[in-house]
Amino acid sequence: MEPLIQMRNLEKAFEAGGSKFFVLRRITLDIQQGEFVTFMGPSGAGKSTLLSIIGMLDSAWTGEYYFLDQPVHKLNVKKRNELHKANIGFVFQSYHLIDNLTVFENLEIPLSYKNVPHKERVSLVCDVLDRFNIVGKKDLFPNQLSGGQQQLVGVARAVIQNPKLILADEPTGNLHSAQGEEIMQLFKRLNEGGTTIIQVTHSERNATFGNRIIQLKDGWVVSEEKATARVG
Amino acid sequence: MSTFLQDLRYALRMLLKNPGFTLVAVLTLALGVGANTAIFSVVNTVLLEPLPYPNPEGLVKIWTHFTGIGLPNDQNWFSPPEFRDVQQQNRSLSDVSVVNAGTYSLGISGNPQSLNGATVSPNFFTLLGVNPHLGRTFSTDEGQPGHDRVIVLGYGLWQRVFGSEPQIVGKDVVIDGRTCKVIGVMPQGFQYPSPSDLWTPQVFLPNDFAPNNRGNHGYEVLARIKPGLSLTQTRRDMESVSKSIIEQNRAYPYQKFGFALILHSLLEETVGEVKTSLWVLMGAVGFVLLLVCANVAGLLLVRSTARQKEIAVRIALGAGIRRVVRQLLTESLLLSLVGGLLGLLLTPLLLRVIVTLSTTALPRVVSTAINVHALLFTFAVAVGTGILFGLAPALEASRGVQYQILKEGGRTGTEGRTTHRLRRIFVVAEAALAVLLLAGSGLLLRSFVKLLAVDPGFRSENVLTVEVALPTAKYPKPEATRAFFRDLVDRVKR
Repeated sequence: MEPLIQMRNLEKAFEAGGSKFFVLRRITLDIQQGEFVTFMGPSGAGKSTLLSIIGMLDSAWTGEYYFLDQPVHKLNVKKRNELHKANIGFVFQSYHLIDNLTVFENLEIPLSYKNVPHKERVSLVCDVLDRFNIVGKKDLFPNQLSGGQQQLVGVARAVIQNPKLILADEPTGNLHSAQGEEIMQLFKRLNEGGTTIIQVTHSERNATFGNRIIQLKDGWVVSEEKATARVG
Repeated sequence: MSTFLQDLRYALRMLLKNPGFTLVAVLTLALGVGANTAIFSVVNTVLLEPLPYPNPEGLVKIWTHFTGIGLPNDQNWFSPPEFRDVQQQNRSLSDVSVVNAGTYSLGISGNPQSLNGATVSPNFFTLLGVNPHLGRTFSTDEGQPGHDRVIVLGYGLWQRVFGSEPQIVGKDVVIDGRTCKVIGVMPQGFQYPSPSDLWTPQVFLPNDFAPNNRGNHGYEVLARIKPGLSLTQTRRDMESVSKSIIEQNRAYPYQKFGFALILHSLLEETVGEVKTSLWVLMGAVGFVLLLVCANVAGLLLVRSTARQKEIAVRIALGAGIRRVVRQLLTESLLLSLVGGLLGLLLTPLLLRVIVTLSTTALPRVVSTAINVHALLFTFAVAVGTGILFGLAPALEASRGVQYQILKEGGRTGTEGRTTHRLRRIFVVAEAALAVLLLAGSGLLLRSFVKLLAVDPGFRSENVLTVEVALPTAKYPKPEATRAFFRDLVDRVKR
């Protein structure tokens, strides 16, 4: 099977005061479909930047990036946006639900951006509400939910469009351990269902849910290892 | 369609969830639209619209002018002999009329009412080209002694006092103690000189034209230029008439005082005094509109900073820039339209206030109607500003998502370079305009204070003035008038 992601000598740098500061250096990696990959490393290592490039939110970089064999580095903004919305879902540390929308409307948003017809949208949202066991919360606004519930909606929003890839940036960073565990279990189940997951985390424990850990430092990939089996 | 409704629903919710922002932006827009349209409508009616008479460009006022008396801007009315000279010797005027504004006493059921009106030459109404609403205007012979017991009523007086009675023509009324027959009612809005409730015919007696009456400069003169002639050609004609008057009346010191006839267009005469003040006011309100635009732009840009995160989230969820722009456009459009529409509702109220407050100060202001072009212009400017600057976050987003915004503890409260630059421009523009307006208001206030402080040469505290019009029929001789006032003063003193 073709790799989901291939990166060759990908670099990102900022110019400041006549000097060039590299955020990512010569990143070369392959991620296969169905993998659960964890980016780890100290703050400022470039983990989130790499995640935003994979998610096609950042286009200011050099090198080669193929997504499902499509050369992202050659695509214009419109094509990148289409590739992104067809295949990628995001989960954020701060949930980033839209405050003025209800749970139902928050779940509906990615579908409306994919121009899914109204009836189908409603059916898909109801299905996800049911799957995530949050039917009773559908008319609530984000500020009426706990952190764990908000992140649950965040994950539901990411999976509603049935993406090939979920990008999760510190998804349990704002949750207490029990809620974090639930979310990670959820990711595990989604991965087992075939969805590729890439997470950024500082948590060794969360990393054990995946099957590969990529360590970054100062913008370089410094090591790659298989994740060891989860304890307990 | 369903996504548009979704955008609209969300826009409405956004506005309702931020009542402070919405209220300030909507009121600012409404005041900008309302004040500008109201003032421009006044300026348009008072200064720009032609006079409400046929061929108004041909109407002029003529003045006598004596340069030799040492007053550079001297302008005098006419004496009866001078009026007759102009009437007989000119070659450029199709009609000439005297207008003698005054106060008249109308007797109704034994109660006299003091009214404004004018005694005019019989051709006055034909000169202006205005037909009566009812009946007729004066005939030539009604300017002859013994035939002048006729009166033309103003529309307002006819409504107010005579209850719009259709059979009023032919009825008798008592004016200044004399019984006169009502021969006509003028149409609504006709007010010359302003204000006027009635008109009586001017009668000149042979004595009025006596050489010793040349110094009696008590008659305003209105004329219409012959079709096809310009103001310059008419002025040249008036020069030759004045030379002829000087030549023919050596006994009167016309030569010594540098007599001349000058004329101005009636529009210039009507609005000349308020022209500068109105343009200054228009300029000030124009600055207010700019200030409103800068204010709304500033408000929207501040809000855009707070919304960068939401826009970044939407883009991360798959929204294209066009979709984000559409969403923001819907919101800005809704906000601007609400503000603009409120402005439309506010305009008639503001206009009514301005007209009520300035009825006596501004000529023609009573006939002010809302100027639709001005309304559309200010509406478009205000709504356009709202739309344009509501799109600022989309402009930022089109440069790509700053992923750091989405990170925990990322740049949540900072703004993009474009937004920051725009905000700085608007802050500077607002400050500059505000200083300009403040300086202007300060100067106006200073002039007003100076005006209040002008010493009239007498103590005005606790002094009242009263105008009394004595009916000539009852007080035909000066002795009787003097006796009346002497008696009145004595009784008031007591």
